[in-house]
Amino acid sequence: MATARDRSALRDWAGQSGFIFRGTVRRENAATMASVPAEAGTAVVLVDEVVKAPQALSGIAGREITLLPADGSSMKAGQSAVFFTRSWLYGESLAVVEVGRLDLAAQVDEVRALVDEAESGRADERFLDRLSRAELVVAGTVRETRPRQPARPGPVSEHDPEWWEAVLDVDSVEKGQPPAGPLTVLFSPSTDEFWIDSPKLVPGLQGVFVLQRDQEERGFPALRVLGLTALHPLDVQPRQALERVRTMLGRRS
Amino acid sequence: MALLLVNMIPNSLSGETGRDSECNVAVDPVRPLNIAASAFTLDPMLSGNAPIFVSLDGGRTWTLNVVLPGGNKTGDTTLRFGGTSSVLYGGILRSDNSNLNILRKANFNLPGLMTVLVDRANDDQPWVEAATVASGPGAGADRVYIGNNDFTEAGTTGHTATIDDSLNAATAAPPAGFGPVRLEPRATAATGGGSQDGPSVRTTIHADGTVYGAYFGWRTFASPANTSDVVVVRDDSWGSGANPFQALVDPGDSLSGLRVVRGVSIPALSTLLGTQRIGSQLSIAVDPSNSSTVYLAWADGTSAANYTIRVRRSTNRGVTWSADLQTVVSATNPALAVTSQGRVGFLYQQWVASGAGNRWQTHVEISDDGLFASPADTMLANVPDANGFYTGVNPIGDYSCLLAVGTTFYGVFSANNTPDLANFPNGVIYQRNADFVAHQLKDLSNSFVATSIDPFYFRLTESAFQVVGLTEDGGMWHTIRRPDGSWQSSFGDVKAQESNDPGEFEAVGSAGVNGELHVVGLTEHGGMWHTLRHEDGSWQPSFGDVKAQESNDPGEFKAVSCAGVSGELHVVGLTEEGGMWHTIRHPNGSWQPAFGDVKAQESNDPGEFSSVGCGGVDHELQVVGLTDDGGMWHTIRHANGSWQPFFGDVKAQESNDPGEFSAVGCAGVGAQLEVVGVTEHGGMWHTIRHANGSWQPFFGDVKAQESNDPGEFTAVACADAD
Repeated sequence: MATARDRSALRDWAGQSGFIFRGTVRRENAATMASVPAEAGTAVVLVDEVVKAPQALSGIAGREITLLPADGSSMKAGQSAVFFTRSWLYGESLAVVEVGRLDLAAQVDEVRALVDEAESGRADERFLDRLSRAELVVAGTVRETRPRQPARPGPVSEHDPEWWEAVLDVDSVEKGQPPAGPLTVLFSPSTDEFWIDSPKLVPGLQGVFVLQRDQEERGFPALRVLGLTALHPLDVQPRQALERVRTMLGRRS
Repeated sequence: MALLLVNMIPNSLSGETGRDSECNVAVDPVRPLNIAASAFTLDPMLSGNAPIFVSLDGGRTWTLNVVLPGGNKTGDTTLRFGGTSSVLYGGILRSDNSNLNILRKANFNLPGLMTVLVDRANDDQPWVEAATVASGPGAGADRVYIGNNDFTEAGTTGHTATIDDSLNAATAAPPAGFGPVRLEPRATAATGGGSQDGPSVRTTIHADGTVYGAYFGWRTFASPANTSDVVVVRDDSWGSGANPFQALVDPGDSLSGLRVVRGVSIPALSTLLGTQRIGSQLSIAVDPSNSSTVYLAWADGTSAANYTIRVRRSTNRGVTWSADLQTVVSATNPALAVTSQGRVGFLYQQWVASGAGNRWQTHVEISDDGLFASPADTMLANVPDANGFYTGVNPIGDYSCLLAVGTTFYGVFSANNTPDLANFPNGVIYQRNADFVAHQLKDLSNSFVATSIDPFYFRLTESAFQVVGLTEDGGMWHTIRRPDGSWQSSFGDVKAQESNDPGEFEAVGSAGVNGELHVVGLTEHGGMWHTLRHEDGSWQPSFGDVKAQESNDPGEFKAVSCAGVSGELHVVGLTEEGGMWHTIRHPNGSWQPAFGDVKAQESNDPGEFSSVGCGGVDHELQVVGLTDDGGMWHTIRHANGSWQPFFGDVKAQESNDPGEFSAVGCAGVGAQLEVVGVTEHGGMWHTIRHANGSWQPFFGDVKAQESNDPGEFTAVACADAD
């Protein structure tokens, strides 16, 4: 079993790691990629089992990759561990930088559960941050969408959010006080790289809307407008998330 | 010119489905095997930083190195190396706060983020160019120019077209001398809350210190089209004086910046050509051999339907300009480059409406005369205007990129990544797992992956003719005939380049594959050995034992022929017993795991083979073998790996019989296989297998075409010289 100290470290490592796996060190001072500098001090590690990996690396289990040990640590051929790593090189193989290591190869299920728990905790923290910054959180339905009028004055850019507004029918207010009259929310329908992951509101969409005022987090300042906005991917949640939202806001239905 | 075209997504990211668009490329001029590139590519591990593409082998293979700050992927990104410093410079729009960052990194292949030299808000489309002063004042200093559209001026002067430049950027502490130079002296288009120029600002640098800039001087802003001047500025001393970029004065208003055209219509930035937005496409390139000659491309029109790229030239330092040298309708993302020989490259992406589905065709035209009188047009890609996993608009991005280093062109563009050779009519290499028969991408576990948008790299190199000869003592020697007709001054001893000596060579075959010369030699004991000459002139350090790569040994080889097919080296060897065996060297250096018995693929056996020739034709390997009785037989290995089910009797296709053949050579020329056979009496005869499978109806007597007769021929080789 992992100790409490392990658990704490693990959560920290999990937060820094994009790729977590159980692996076996095959060769010391070696690499699977020609572009890894000879003096890098890397090791070749077989990925025995994936604990966490991005979709783009599907199928990486069973392959040898290159691992740069964390500062001050060493590796020995034959050593098995759960490796917490972050990205370095993606090529004909993979090279990663070690963040942490748990010599718990036989207890991967426990590690996986702890990683899942840490991931869930981090997701909660990110969403709670959005909730905390929100001026208004409501559950409701998009009644209609339309280009913002009047159009934003000022510079013209291909990175323009192309501001539209959505009129919401509000079922419940979870945080803040809606303005008098129809609740309108600014969003970006643009598929420009700056805005491609911003929520695209459409009539009939039901959800929980986490609304910031006068956002300053993305886009050129010269292209911003004043108002309530839903721009971050977390700012529009499915209706089923309402109980979670209420819990996080300290409210109960 | 020889083409190398590579899908840049590396094998380890075979499961990738992003919109990797709007790519850019940088080539280290002193180490042109070192190449960096960018696209809207995500760090899949979400490290909080973004990758660049890195190649250390001239673009044949690519690796992502996570070095860009400011989010898991970046917005607009361009890269350039210093002229001799090998320092990589970048201009990016961060995705975390949308700020412009000007970046620097001494070694682009090492881990660690690029150093932020400038961090500024409200700035669009940074485009980096860089050079190193070769001699005179400032010798050794990196001069870096970053065109950008700075909205901080929109609310005041409206002069947003800007170049941030540094006269010594390589090592100084941030901001390393970078500062904005406003290019626009005229009133710009009022947009309701200010005024501004168009997004694209480009520069091009000559080694003598001449720096040109180009921008869209927007004059009126409206929908569906704006009006704009296309303006060129120039500085004759690196932009180092008190009034930089004011050397060109327009005679119409006596203001700096020559208006190449005035008041042309440019579609609004939200206009779509197919699924790609348009409205600010611009490129400028100076002739490295003459700073007075400069080329300009831009696109204008009142709508997507008549959006037209125009190419023009000035031969007097931008003072006057030609009429349109080239126009392409319904096209975007022009990119120009000029080689050291004055050849002009023009890259563009053209949208083609089709009842069978709209397409994006990516072309590169090469004009030897600079006038585009009869440019050589190579279609790099002809892909669906369908974006796969990503279903939105803007699939290919707002720009592509073309560079010239020496006599070689380097370029990048984005396109749909469906693995279908019909989409890449001049061949392509995928690093990611791809099934070109089923036209499906596969992840590392061989599961289906949705199509998406990928970056593609290409390189066009001068086609040098290379010769490998064997001497009576078994030596192997090499020489080159250069494009200008001159020859390498002395034969190079290939064995002297290698650390091992397989013994005396008795037969040899060679083929050019992706800009490299591959050589396969047979030793007196029937061994088969391989080496290759890289495009930089270096050789593989030791001969590789081909037999050691294979799980079977067909016996002693006595004859060999090679051909490049779709980026792979195909080798056909004949054994002492007259067998015919085949193997492949893949682009990643691995070999087919076992020699394939060609005869076992065929339903007939013409007898023992004694001579063989082969050529690549339209993604297929075609093989011609001569039998001991002088017959000539032909077969094909199709792109899917299957073989024509029987050897075809070539003589049976012809109305005449020149006699027994004793030697053969062949080559793929366009869509045809051309075959030359030497008869036992020294005659030389020629035939053609056409693209439709038919043959020229008779052997042609080559000697009868010539005015002299060198005597009896005993051996033959041939090649496509294009």
